[in-house]
Amino acid sequence: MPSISTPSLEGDVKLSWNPDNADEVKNAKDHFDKLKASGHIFFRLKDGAKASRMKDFDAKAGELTCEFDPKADIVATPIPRGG
Amino acid sequence: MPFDTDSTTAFAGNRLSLYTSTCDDNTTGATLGAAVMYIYSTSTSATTNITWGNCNTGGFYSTSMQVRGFRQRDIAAVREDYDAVKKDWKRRRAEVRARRFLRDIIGAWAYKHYRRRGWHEVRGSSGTRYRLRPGMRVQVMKHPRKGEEVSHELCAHLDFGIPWYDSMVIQHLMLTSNKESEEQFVAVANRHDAHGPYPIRELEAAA
Repeated sequence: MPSISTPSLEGDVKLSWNPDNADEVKNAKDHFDKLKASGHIFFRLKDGAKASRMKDFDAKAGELTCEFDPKADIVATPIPRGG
Repeated sequence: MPFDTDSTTAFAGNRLSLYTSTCDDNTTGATLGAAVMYIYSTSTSATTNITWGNCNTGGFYSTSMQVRGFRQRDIAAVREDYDAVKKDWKRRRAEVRARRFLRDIIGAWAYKHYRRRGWHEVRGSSGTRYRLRPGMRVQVMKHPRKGEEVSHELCAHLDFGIPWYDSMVIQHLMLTSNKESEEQFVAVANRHDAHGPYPIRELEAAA
């Protein structure tokens, strides 16, 4: 099942959903949008291949956007800070 | 580690006291009637650059003073985090969970190698080799193909309290996913000399 994993004090927190269930997909998208609004960055995981940073070019907007993919395994994280 | 302006700070071990100005506008040097000093500082790795200024005249001198050392509160934060990993059962449980997450992300083969060697090596999109270790800085290897020599270290991690292995996951993803992410990581990280120093003796020994 696709999921969004986010690091937390308890270890990674994973939200999974059934891509065929509209309510669950909407819930997951809302969660994704909240994380995006708070400045998280996203990586799409692929089996057997390296992960990719989620950045898609929106030709109309002329900028890079990051849209929710209901079928993807995603890792969402705040940008690390220098230490 | 960023340096706080607008505070009076004494560096432990360096015996340096810094005073803020009472200027309303540090950048343009608003006049307050008396000569005061303001501080503009940038901090990279363990070095803080300090430039003294004079609000009255509106200009500032480029006399720079470099201070090496760690701030007391950063040392305390690192120590508290280190102690939590060693002693707090909730944190240890979180680390176990995060370690499983790391294994899922990097794969069983790479995880097995990490467990054997104690470090997880990745190659960035730039071709640079990096070694990742839990709770420690990312080592940037000197030679892109092979070799054990470390060029320097980069420190960028998630907030204290979040498992070290989660930070390793994020370091792995940022350094390997694409060129922009790697550049972003290098840009946010503070650069340190190879093999330390570290503010905790145990980490210093492991470095």
